[in-house]
Amino acid sequence: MSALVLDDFTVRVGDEALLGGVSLELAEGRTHAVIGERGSSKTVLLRCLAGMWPEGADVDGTLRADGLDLVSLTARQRLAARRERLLYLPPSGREALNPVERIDQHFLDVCSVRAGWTDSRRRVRRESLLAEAAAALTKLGIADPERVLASIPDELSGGMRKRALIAMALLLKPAVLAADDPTSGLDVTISRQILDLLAEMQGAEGFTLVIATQDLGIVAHYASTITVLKSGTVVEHTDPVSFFAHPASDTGAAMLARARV
Amino acid sequence: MASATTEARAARRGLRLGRFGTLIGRRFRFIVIQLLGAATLAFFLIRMVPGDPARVLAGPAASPATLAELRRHLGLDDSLPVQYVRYLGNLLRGDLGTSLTTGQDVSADLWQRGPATLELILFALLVSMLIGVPLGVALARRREKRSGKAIFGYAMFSGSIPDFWLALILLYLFSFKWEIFPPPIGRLGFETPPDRITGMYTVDALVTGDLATFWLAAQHLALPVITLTLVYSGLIVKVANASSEQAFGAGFVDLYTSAGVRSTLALRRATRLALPPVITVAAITNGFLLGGAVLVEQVFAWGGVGQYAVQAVRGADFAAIQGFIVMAAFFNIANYLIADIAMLGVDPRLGRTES
Amino acid sequence: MSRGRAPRRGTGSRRRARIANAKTRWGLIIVAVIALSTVLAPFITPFGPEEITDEVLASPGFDQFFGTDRRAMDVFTRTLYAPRVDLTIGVIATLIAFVIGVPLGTVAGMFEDRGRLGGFASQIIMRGMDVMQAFPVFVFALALVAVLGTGATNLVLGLAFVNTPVFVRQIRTGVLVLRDEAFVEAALIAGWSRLRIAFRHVLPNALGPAASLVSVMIGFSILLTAGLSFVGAGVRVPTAEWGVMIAEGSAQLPTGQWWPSVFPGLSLALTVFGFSLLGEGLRESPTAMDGRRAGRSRRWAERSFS
Repeated sequence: MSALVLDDFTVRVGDEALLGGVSLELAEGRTHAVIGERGSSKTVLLRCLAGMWPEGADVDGTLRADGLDLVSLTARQRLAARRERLLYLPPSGREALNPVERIDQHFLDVCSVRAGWTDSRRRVRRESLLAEAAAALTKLGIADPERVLASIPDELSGGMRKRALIAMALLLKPAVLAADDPTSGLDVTISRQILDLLAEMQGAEGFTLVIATQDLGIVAHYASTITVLKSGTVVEHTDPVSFFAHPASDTGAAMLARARV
Repeated sequence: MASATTEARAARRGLRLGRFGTLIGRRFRFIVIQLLGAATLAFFLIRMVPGDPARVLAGPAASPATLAELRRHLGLDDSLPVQYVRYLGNLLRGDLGTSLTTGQDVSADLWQRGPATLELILFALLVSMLIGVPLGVALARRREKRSGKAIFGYAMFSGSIPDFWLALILLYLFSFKWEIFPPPIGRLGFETPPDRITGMYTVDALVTGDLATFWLAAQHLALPVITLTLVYSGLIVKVANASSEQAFGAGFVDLYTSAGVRSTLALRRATRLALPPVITVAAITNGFLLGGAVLVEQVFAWGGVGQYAVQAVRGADFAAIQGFIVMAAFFNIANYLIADIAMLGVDPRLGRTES
Repeated sequence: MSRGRAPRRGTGSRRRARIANAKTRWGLIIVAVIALSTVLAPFITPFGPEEITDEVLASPGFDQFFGTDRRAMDVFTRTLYAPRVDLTIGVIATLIAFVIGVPLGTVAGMFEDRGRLGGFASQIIMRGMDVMQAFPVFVFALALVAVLGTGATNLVLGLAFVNTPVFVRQIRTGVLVLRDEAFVEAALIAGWSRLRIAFRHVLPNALGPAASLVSVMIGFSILLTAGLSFVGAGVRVPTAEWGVMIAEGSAQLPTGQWWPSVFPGLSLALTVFGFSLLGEGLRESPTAMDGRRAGRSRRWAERSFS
């Protein structure tokens, strides 16, 4: 079954087409890679998968995510749809975190919309939720999660902030997780560790993971499909084996050639 | 595990309190230097006046006997360092000398008139913030619309309006012509003020439950406060606009939106992020307002320290001038201190990344 | 609320540049019109600035656009002539502050935490500025003029003194950023003295933003001049000066003659607005001169050390 179905999905802002007629079917419970040069609208596509249209955009075509027809929904409905179902994970921990709030507050806020959260049980929830957060951070290879939770973003390194973001995604358990460049700024060991963890979680929970990346090594290891974007259109959609053997598109071939050097 | 966690948290909190403490401590050291510097500058400023300080202080009409007496009284025969130390000692005891125009102690004069000015400034600041901040925030979402442009245009222009002139215009229209507000004869017209508790008539009248006096005091306050608000809220609008625009567009709002968090919660968090520049601009505005009050008080015969200062300048009453500027500097420094403390509460970055 | 942010496509910065240019243009136009009209005043109006005309408190009309004041002087003429006093005082006071503030700020920035003597000098300068800025600006200016005595010269000196810290801070901030640039490092390695690098290569790059501040501060000084004159601590009656005119005219407001005080105030506000528009426009303009200057100095560094 397909978790994500796009049919002639188009996004325009003014005269400019950010996404021009994208048609894709991405299977449930798998990892899908979206690659492309800078400015190929990878981020726009990933945000749209979570129902986040660009500001002032005209959206056309079909986009079904986890059974929901996102295009027909209002902004409010899409916001509600994202709770527990869809999540777009921004690339930079530095930008995505609030500089004046502690990390634990981010966890509490972001998880405040999870089912079962009630104000009367706030106290209980808070403790158990922070314990969950600490456990997630530990899994991501952080030795002292308590310290991280009690810190403000400025006190953490880039890698720490990034892992805090991913831990939030793990707690939110979306059906579709669109992770924008989840390994940028991390060293190879940690990148692998994080992706292994995501793959393991995927085995257990069965969520669909879409990652945008420039790192073909990751694509080769984890992805079951590869989508190559070029200025907002899909120029290639295939599986890794055939991609690495014979990239069909110029963009794919160029990226592959660069990765081999 | 649980107890270890608690311990770690406690230790961490202690550490933070320590940093908080050093930060405040450093701030206080800075303030002491600033206060001392301001007092020193005021001392030498008055001694820059050409001629005999005794004559300057006593005025041109003083007799030679008075001058000699004054010279002895002021210790003007002593060396400058001795005089300086004595001046600082007097300042610490709250002795600012004697005013030439009123014949009273300058500190008593200032104490008597201070609340009038304070009331004016605080109300002006309050109204400016109450109008300026929401306006700036609302503007963050409607820059392109006509109403947004109009407000923004006004915010840019307002700082160029001479406050004393605007006071006159408003007075002419609303008091002389349309008789909506009382004429410019002080804070209550000819009524008796309420018993002094804070010295601010509106507050005192409210505390004593004298609603009629409160209403009258508020009517007298209206025009000067409107004047100051119209001139000085522009800066607040601009800063509130820029900082909220930045906070609403911050990456974490995007993350929260992505997680499906209610927008009210995201806005609440953004508010905290937008606060520090607003606090700073409030402190700056308060300093400007004291300057503005000097001029506006003049127009409304307000009887505060501003009018006192102008009187002192016209009458070459240098003890009063010196007292006034020392007070003004202290007010300003206190003002920034309050802002700094508020900022420490709002922005955890200040307490922590210092090392 | 689920609106995502569009990727940046440069329209925002283009829009900002357009607004900045519009501000600069309108600021320049206003300032130029005011300056020209005051220079050409003798050709525009038949009266002198302190000339007594026929009628006292004549209402605005065809012969005398803004009417006359209680001394029967022509308000239009006086409003036209006023910038000769206000503008001159504002410009000179700001330039003096600029000339004093720039070297102080350069030294303060370049030597902050660098070397014992230099660091000390920097500390002294900045603590001095802190003390000066402890006083509210108008209050400080009022006290200075009270001490120095009224009159245009003392007004200029007082305002220059009050404005200096603003320039010191601005330049210091710019220098602090620039002193870590590669070309400074290179020049230090080449054996140049810190002072020489500061004035030859760092300062020119930091001047751009300060230049836009000059315009804003001129407007601000004009406002202070008028305010001080209004309370009788500045220029004396019956000089054609905005603050004096407003103060003089205010006595007629209760009896309904608004024109002697309204017109000079309008003209004053417009002038100040022109200068602040110009300053803001220059500051926000992406083609401000600092970029080009920085490029030149970097090229110089490349030539000298590569």
